Amino acid sequence: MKSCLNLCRGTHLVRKRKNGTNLPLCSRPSAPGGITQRSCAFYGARWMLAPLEDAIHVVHGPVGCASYGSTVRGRSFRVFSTALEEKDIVFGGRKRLIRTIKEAKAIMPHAKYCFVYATCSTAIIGDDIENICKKMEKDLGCPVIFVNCPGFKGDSQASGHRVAYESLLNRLIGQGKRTEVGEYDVNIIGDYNINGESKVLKSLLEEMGIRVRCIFTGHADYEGIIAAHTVRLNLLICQSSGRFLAEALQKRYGIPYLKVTFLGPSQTMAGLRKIGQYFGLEAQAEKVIATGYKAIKPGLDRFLPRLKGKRAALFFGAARMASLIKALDDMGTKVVFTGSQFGDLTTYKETCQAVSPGTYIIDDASEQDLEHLLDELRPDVFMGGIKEQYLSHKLGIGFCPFPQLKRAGPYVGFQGFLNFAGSVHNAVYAPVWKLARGE
Amino acid sequence: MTMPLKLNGRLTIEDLNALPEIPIEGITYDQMYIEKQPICPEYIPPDQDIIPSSKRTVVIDPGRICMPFGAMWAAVGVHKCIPFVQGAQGCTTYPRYTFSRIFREPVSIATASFHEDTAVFGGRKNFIDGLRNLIIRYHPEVIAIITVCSSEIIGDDMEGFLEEAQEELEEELGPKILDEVKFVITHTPSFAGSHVEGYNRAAAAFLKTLAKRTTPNNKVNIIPGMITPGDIREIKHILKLMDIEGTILFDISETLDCPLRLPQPMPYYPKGGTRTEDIVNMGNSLMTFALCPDQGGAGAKYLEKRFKMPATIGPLPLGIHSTDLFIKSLAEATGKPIADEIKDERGILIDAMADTFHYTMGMRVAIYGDPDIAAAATRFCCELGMEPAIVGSGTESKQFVKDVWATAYEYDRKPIILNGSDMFEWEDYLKKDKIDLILGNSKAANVSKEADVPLVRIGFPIYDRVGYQRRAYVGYRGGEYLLDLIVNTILDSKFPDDRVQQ
Amino acid sequence: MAIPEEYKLKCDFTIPERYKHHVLTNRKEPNIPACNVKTIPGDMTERGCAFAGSRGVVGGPIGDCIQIIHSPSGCAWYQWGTRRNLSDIYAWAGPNTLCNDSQNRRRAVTSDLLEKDVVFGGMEKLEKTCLEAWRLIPGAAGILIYTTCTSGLIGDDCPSVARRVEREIGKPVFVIDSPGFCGVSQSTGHHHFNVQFYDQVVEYREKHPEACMKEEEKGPYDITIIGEFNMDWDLAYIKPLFEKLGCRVVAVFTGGERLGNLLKIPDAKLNVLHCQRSCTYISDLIKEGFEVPYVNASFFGIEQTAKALREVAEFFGSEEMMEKAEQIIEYELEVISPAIDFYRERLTGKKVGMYVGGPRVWHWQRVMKELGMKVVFGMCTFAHEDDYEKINARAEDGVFLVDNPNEFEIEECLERFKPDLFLTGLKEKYLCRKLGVPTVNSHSYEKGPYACFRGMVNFARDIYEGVYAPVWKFARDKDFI
Repeated sequence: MKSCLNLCRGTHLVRKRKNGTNLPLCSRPSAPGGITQRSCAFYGARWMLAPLEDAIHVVHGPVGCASYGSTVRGRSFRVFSTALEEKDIVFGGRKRLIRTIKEAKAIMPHAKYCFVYATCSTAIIGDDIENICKKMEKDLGCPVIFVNCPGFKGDSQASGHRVAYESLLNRLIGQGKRTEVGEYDVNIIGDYNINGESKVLKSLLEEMGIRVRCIFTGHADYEGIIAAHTVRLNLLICQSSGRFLAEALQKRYGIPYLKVTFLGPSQTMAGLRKIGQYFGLEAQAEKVIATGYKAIKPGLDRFLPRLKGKRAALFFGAARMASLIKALDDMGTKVVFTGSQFGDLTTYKETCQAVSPGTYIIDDASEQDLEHLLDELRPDVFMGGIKEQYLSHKLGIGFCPFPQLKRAGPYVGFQGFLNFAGSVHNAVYAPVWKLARGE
Repeated sequence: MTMPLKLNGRLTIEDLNALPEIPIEGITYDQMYIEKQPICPEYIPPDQDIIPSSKRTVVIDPGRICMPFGAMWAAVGVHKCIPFVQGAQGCTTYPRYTFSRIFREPVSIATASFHEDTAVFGGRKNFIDGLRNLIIRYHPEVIAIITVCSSEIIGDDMEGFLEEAQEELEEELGPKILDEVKFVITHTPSFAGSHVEGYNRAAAAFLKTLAKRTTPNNKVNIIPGMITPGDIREIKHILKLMDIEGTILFDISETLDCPLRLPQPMPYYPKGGTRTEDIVNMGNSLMTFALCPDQGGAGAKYLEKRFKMPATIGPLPLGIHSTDLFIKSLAEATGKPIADEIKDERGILIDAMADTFHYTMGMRVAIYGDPDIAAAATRFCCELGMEPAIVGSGTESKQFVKDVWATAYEYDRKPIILNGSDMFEWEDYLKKDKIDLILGNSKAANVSKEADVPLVRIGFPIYDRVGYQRRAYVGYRGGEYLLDLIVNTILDSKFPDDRVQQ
Repeated sequence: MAIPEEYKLKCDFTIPERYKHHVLTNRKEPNIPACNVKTIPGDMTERGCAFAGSRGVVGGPIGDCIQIIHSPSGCAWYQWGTRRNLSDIYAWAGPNTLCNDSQNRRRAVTSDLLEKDVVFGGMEKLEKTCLEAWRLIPGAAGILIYTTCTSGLIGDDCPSVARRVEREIGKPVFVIDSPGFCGVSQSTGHHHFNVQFYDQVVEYREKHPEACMKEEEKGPYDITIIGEFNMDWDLAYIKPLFEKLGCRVVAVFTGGERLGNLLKIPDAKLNVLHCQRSCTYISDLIKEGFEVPYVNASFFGIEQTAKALREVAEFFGSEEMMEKAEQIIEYELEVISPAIDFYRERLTGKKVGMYVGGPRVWHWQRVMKELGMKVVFGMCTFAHEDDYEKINARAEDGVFLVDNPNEFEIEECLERFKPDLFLTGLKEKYLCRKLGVPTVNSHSYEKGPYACFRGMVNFARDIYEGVYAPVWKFARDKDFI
């Protein structure tokens, strides 16, 4: 199967050969006019930094970027905008930015830190936001951090993720001290609390005796971030964007990191055992695993027989591909094609290992690519983000949204897997597909 | 003008009477706080043994009205038809209140005004005088004569009275009065059935009295049953799209949902309604559709017997499957193709169902209503992936049980079915179960509040919210409306505000 | 006195027997139309039946009894939670929740007569019904059984059933025999309830003296309020007014009242009678039987409420009470004057028509005057002669009155007199809208209590909202006629 854009871009779509490790071309710019699913660096930076609700977020640009940027993962956050107009673009937005930052601090006097985002327009007109931020730090008495994420930077939102993590690393982490440090302190890197995951992860680990100090960025606050360097171990969940931070923390502060994931029982059990082994808490880990699995066994017996042998397709950001595929394995569901918007080589290597031969892997799929793939392969359920949902419906294929989840609640942990299985089950067995086919 | 006071929270009766000033807006009852006094100091559970309706005699919170109401509903849908109720004044005034509450429209129904002497001597004089007064003042085209329990018990011979009345009218007003006014007698003793049966009998009576066969034509007959004016408009819309001419018997969409346009001629008659000539012409049609099997099926069966006219009885076209059946039957009977616009409408409903199944699948529903509406709603809920847990019908009906079992078997569900039970029993089952949503009429609002389960209003009667009578539930577009109601109610109650963005 | 030609309604040319029901008011020589007579069959009357009068109006508001209707399901269904006679007595819906609606409106309990009961008699069914209802709605204070056309015609002997049930459950069981076809209108039902209830209360008090008030409990200023059905919580303003005066309200007949208190009505010192159409009968009976006098009162409007307070104070003859009455009147006037002045300014000169059951037509003549509005015609469904006398006495001269109007007459009066507002009930409301005339619901009110001084603000506001709603402007737009 070829996509008509293949000629411009080379092979960004491959089919895994038996014992093969052929990977698609990735980390390339998208073809203009190809209706890509990617977004921009500002989007990526907001994705990372929005959950930090005790900070002031100032978007320096026309009001649109702030308006769109205020909704992240289906939740609304408070954002301040300099709302630049034509004359500001011509004469510079410096004065406006200074006033905005001052007024924002007056409205949120208890905020401990402030982020100032650059956008396409302000980067092009050359406003020296970095210096303004330095000056405002003296006036406000708290860190004012410049996030250099104009939309045109890099190929996709991935660059924004990196800029965000860099700003946290360079300006905040390590600035603080912690009076009370424990033997089993960890940070979690790469969980964004989309649907209550942070709580689930915390409680799972606390059951084992581990204390979670800070979750980047699903459950982080100022105190947690500045003292993030005082833990004994980092748990890396989001492999693509979070890896940068985990490696930096290891290099700078000597904190090791473990790659774990909590999607699906086998990966959850493996992750808990890994952590248990590191801390010498193997017995506790086994106990948590036993209770957790026992609680969901009846539910699993209900869903799994009906999901066995069903075919699924995946397409979203990047990081969760491999772990999601393994979780679907636990469900007995086979993946027929998978892809991501901005994955890099490491991500695709892992994915390739996780899938079975014959699966298609695609990078930066355009709308047409997705249509072709869905129409030809006709999976029973398609998992992706909001933009892909309605396309899938029109083709008569059940859709299970991930990561923006609906009523089903978090998908991590043991109970989470049951929720996940329930959502996939609903998508596959909704009566509407039969009615649509006229049966 | 004085500044209104700031009133925080609600006021007890003492506060109310101690206020030094009453603002111009007055103090309305939503600002008053009246403490609820329990009827007895502690909760005493009701006797569980006699809650199932098969084990008791008393009926608490009946889900049905008496028969004459259905006949009045039918009669009001005919153009310039005034029902004449042979009974006490209450049997007329109460239904008029009920119509006004549900449709928010004026309804003219005449009564024979039984008093004590009538109960002793019979209703002949009231009947003849009453008919005369009605005709010379209102000049109706049809008079639907409806009996009630009192006239049936005292044994009024309605047919005999009518002959006498017609003779007297002929004498007073001339022979052509008998051509100008038609009379239809419907026997509806209240104790012999519910309003469902009343409508059924009226359908049969009207067709028996008026329908004639002269030259066959290509029209279809539709006997709608007790559905909303919006529903009837939707049926007309479907017929139009299919390029089929139809006669709707008892068309209340033109009489119970009328515009306010001044000046209004007197006496008040709605412009529309099924014309008498059309009812006469119904004997010539290709086929009859009775949309509700229990409400109007008798009329369709009569036409089948008398004129060998094929009849399709039910199901009510609510939801995909039933509407598909309706449209296919229409296409087969008339030979017209299924219009493309209808397929688009079907597609839009399917699209809506595809967009929202994550919200509806697995939700447990309790349903209560008239048998045809309850059966149709059960099927639609199954199509949305919901689980009907308790399905109740106010009127006993075999067809209802059959339909619900068929749906349950097809979708592998096991609802509790209450056939002809009252709302007290249904309420008890509901409160003991874990239910997510109620599909019921306005009488279920109290139950909904007490059990803290949200209510989607469907069926008869809906009087505590506006606009339901103007909207359709049948057809594909009606299915969209009902789906929107159901999903929005679920979003209101089960989804915190930060989860509704997708 | 016959009415002049120009007042004869065209719609009644063909039934000229209606003309004796139309008069014009005259203060000096009151004109009383023919009233409380048989309805003309087929004229599209607005009247209801006796069952409506007995259970719907007078019996329904009783707050803590199970009201069982011995009839097919229809009669019970039509009265299920329809009238807004509110009460604060709620039954239990679950271990920690009270029902969503008060007991008198929440349930419709019926014996659901079927064909075989009509043929073979329904008494056994009734007995089973009562006993089962008692087990299914625990905690009630008693049972009231009502008969209807059906049970009346098949000749069920309900009092004997009631006696057996009473023995079984040990609480009062009363029967009100008021089939729909009795009398000519709701008014007969009122009468039936008053007389039968009184008889049964007296009988019960003799058999169970503990239900009466003990001598030491009786106070010097005990009153009962008779003929007040607590529409939209009128009692929230009426009761406290009398309590401020120094009286103790022993019972209210029957707005939201407990059966236990109703049994104590004859133990008061004075009965204050509000609805004089439906409850004069019981007041007379109590006067005869227990020598407790009654005073007519009207709780609508400033002048009439003030008069009621003064008369009650005068009856008790206490100086202190009469002074208190004056203080209360002065204070309340201050409280509501700003609002009432606001409305009077805007409603002066507007024309209003009235069509209610009977007494409200004369209760509200003064109220309209206080608001500056002119009454152009009045109609009553079931008024008697004394009501018409009162209307003549309180209205201006020359107001057109109709007794037992039918729908066509209402339409014609609206067209001829063109009022700016029509005070009427639910059935006429939608007809009037079609004719472009705003209405205010005179039976169950629109928003909030209308009684006494403070309630008048609500009444004035609802009238104001009716007259000044923007929709009437659009309805009269000439381009779209």
